[in-house]
Amino acid sequence: MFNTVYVEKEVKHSPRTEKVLDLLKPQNLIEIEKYTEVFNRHNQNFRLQKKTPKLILAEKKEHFVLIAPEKCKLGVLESYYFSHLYNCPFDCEYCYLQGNYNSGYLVWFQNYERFFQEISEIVQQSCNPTYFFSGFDCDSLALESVTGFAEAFIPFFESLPNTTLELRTKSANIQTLLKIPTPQNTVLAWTLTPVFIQENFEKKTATLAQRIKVINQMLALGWRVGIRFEPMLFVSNWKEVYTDFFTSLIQKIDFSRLEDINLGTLHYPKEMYKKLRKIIPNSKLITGPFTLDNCGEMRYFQNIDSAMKDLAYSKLAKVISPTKIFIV
Amino acid sequence: MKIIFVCALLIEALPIIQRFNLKPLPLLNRFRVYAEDEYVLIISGTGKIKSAIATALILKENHTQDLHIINFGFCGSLSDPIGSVALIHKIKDNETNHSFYPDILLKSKIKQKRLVTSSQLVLKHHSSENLLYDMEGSAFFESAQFFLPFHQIHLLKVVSDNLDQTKLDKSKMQKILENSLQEIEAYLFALKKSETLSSFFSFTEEQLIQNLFSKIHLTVTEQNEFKNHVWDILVQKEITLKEFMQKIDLILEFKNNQKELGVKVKKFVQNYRDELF
Repeated sequence: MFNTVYVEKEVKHSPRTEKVLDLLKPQNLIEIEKYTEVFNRHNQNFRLQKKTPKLILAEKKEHFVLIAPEKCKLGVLESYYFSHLYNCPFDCEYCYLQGNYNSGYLVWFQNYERFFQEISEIVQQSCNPTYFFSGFDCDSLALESVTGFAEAFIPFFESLPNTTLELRTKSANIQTLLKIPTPQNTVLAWTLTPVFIQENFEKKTATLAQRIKVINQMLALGWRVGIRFEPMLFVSNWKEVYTDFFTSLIQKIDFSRLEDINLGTLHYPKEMYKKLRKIIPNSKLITGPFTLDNCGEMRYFQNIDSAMKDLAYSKLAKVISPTKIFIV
Repeated sequence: MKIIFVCALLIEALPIIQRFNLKPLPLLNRFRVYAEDEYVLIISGTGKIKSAIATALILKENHTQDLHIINFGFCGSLSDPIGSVALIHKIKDNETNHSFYPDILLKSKIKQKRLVTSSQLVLKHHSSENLLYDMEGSAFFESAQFFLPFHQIHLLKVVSDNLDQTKLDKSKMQKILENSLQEIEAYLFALKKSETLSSFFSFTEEQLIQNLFSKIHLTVTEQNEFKNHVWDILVQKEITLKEFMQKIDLILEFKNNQKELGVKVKKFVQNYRDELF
């Protein structure tokens, strides 16, 4: 899976690291002082690195948990996010992580226990319900067989009161989940896109059919499941593509059993968009109908943006309570 | 694609010079340079400072986007067999303790190793297993990274001794390097086949645009916006810049002043792009 693994000196002999090195048996194990000396340096080629993925094992020192951006919240006032991984083994053409990081390699933070400590403190100090997103800087389940992330964090969240963990993914990796008793404090959130989009722009992700299959499987087991229709992408025949997609999906998934859904179109902060244009200049998605909006973000032309969201809402509001639909 | 070799000594350079039939060029400052077709080779002399200067000079002279630079030469090793070839994935400078990490993206059969660069000869009792030792690597890399992305900087080393100070005669050294050539050539072959990513406008396209800018008045911001919009059109419509410029040439036929032409061209491109969607 990873021929080359960089490992920070400090975590090299931690039990979690030793276990994963034993599992991966990398041909090249390169000791580093800090993950930043490989991951943060300028003048790396994100696109080429994506084709020869390497893993960086590191220890997170600070900023374990961050406040979630306002627009990403799903109706819970106190929302946070944390990242045990930076980057993702999948290769989505529109992925904003390309504009976020200098490197296409994966950083995996080994010190889960510090995350537990920080999350516990936040939950205990809060009088309100709290919500923790885990899939903003990575895919929560894509590397589960290596990271054991869900296996460690789901039981941990079960021990906390009045809180929810969201695992967001484009994978179909549920093997670990099937071994865990159905939790009350975890939402599994699948990002769904039409077949045309998945096949053309979401390399290495699970197919739409695979994702639908595991959604139904987990719903049947009583898990809390959400669906994220974000981002919706502009392609020349988007109306037809998305109409067919929603029509077919409504027949395959019982939306009334879902925890919630959100929907939103592709958009980027201005500077990130500039960086993406350089990284993937020939992308039809990135050279699409973008314009600078009033908040300094690059979004689709107003008429297109509204029309895409309206289409999604009109289809979905028929099968799920509007109070469970969040528009980004 | 251009490939530049930086070798400390003539004896290290000779197999490359002979294999690729490189011809001598005039001295670059005090450095001997050889070249032929896509290959360039510079002989830096021994030590970190000379290597850094030679690397910087040759890269300044030959800078193109599609360029790789290789530090090729001998190294010492406590236990690796003499003549074995290594691709370096970590370099530690013995004096500063700084480490550098070449970004190896190519699939190659050459074994990857760590290199320690030291200003002084490293002797057996000061060395560690599994490490290679040279006198230039860290400086070569530190210099090259000012010019190139990390994955375009390579260090290929051939073990010449086991740090026991035995002096190899020249013919034996040359034989060792000649034997390593097959692996080096396989690496170069993979390098040439490696993917180069498409970039924004090519040099010729940029000239075409600059030629247009000389005929119309646009502010720098407007020029950047114009280029972005034209790029969107080319990608979305899958046409060449030359084809699209023919449409702009029609506007230029109007006998307006530069400012009026600028307004017309800008509006035309903006509308053309917006109407694509």
